[in-house]
Amino acid sequence: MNIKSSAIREIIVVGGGTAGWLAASHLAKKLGSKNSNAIQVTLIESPDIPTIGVGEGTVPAIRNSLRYLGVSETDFIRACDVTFKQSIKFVDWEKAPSHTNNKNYYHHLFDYPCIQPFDVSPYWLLHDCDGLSYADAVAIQGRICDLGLAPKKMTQCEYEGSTQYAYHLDAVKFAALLTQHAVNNLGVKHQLANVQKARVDDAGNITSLMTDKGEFSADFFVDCSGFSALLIGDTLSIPFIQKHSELFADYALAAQVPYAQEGTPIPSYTISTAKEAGWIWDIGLTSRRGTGYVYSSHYTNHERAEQVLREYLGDAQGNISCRKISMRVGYREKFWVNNCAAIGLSQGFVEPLEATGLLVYDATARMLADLFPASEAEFAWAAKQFNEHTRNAWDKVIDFVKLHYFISQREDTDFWRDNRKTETASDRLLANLEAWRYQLPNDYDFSSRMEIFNLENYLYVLYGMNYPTDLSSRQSRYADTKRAQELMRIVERKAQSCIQDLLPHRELIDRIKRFGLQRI
Amino acid sequence: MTAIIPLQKELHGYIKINDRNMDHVQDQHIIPILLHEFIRVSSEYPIVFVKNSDTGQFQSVCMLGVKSSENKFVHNQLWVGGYVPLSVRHAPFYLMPDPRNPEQLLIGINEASPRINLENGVSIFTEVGEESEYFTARKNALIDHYEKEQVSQELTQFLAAMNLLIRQEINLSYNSENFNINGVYLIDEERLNSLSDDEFLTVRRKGLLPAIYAQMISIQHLERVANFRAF
Repeated sequence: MNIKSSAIREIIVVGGGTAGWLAASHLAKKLGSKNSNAIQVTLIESPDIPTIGVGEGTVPAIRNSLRYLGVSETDFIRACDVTFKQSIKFVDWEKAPSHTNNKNYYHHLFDYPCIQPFDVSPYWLLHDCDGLSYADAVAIQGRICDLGLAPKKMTQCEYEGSTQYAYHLDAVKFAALLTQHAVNNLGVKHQLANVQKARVDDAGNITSLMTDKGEFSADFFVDCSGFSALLIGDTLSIPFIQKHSELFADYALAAQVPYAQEGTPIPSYTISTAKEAGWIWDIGLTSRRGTGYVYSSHYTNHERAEQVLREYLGDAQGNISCRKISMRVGYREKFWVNNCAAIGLSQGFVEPLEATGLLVYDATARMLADLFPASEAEFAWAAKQFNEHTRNAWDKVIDFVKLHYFISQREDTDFWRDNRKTETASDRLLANLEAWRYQLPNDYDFSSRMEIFNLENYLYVLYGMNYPTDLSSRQSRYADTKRAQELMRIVERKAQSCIQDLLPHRELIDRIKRFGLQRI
Repeated sequence: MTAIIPLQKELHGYIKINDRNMDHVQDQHIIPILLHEFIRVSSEYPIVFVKNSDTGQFQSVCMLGVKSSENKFVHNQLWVGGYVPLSVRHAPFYLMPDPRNPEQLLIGINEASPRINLENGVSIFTEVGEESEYFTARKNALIDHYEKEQVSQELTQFLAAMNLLIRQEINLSYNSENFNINGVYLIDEERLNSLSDDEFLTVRRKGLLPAIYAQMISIQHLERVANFRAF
């Protein structure tokens, strides 16, 4: 075999949603596609098929990606209706709402909690802290969120903040921004065409795509065609492993809602409110809110679901238009087969409880670029790594999302009761939770490369929901109560000092739009 | 501390101004300066850029001390340095938006200013209630400063946009005390030296070269300012 002829020269990415442009951008950046000697990346998207149009929450890793790709945070904020996200506020997850409990919420914060070098967590568990929430014991960010403050100051440069933050964004505008940046600055080629069929050779490699604008050939293909999964699904017939036995929600009813008045304060966190057969997301962008009810059609029907959403929105008249999206939860048996890799909804999907869509697509796009082979001979090894890590990532995501349901104490409907049946959780999650009945989670529990959710994430959710870890068998290890109390006081003082310098959320966004953020 | 209201001869006809009094800046260790002043300032004081805390935009300043709230060049109410930065000179007068028509600017006076008194100094208004020559000169200087400020601001943003500024942390010691100055930005000499021919020409055409070199040279004064004593 002529080694030179099997060298990869051209990549085609199919699909122009956020996953497609993230994949194209990461590849072009890593491979240096601006240079004509380097591997070239072309993105083909349909001018007719709309993108999914939701997917508006992110996690802090997106900042690293945007900075790495060379996108200006100022441009991003101005173009994509961006607001800052510091947390997900979970409302009514632990217990069903009633007139007695008014503070039935907890924050899953982005800030790393105060657990190193001294871990405050066991002391919070063992002692009464005057009703101090776990999040407020270990971090300042919860207070900042509750006060409606922004996570950064005008004097901090792009991508820097006083707290860890991510964004809420308009998915369509984000794809448009990435398009511009990828084409103008990263050397990605853009082709509008409808893909009709893929040609596959005897070895199972895709050789070219037949479109309404002609035939396009390449050495490697990335399937970012969404739920349609034109390549990985339709062409290569990789089965989809569905996970509805663990995560029940199979529909989302999405609505875009205008603000009642100009200047309405915007929360700098996503709100997730648990409901009878699922939960409602509520994301504040600059010009509108994005909301939706994620529910299981086995535990409710579409009419009732619409009622629940409209009740939440205060829209008894039914003026707000809703869009029903069917959600297939699960992932492909393989994500990289021969010369084709899937990124995005074609790869897998889980209900957006922890903003995992963009998270996993960004992380796997980065991984694809990092692992990208130079020749066909290297495919098998790269694919093996990619498949293992991606599968692990999805399994861990499913476990973490399931956790929220599994440790809830809601008894009000079958949906909630059935969610606690052991056959609906993975063995891994069950084993972890069993161990955590008498000890805290620790770093050893999160040892793989693509854990996605680590110790700190589990701590926030477990103890935000008052998981009954009983440390009495270990109590003698936690004798330094004075130090723990001092640390909690330090957290409180740091919070107060930080709060002095921060503006209300909307005010900061307005100033950034006006003055921009400095690069240094 | 400040009580700035529109200047009116009905209220302020009897006031005299002693503009040698420097109390209003005795606690300011950094003072805003215009790019136009860099050459003059650079022969005595270190010039750095800082970020405006409300807007994050860069502002050129001279340093008159290395400790917060310590201006070494005001002693016994007098300026003991050589050059007096322009922004210091205008007190107690300020340009302010006209309360009746915020698009317009008018001259305001800080009634709490230590420069105001009834006996010593120069009058604002003559006996017949007209602007004194002194005040006319002050007014014109204020307006000139305002106009130059717009230009200076624009050019400063241009320096930032050209990536010619770099964040610097400065460590000094004197009197066996150590000082850490952070949050200041200086001209990035490496970047300056690696500008393309086109970029360099643009910088030159905007008249920025003297200011750039003045800032670079002025930083030598930091140690002298740290050690400076007025008495």
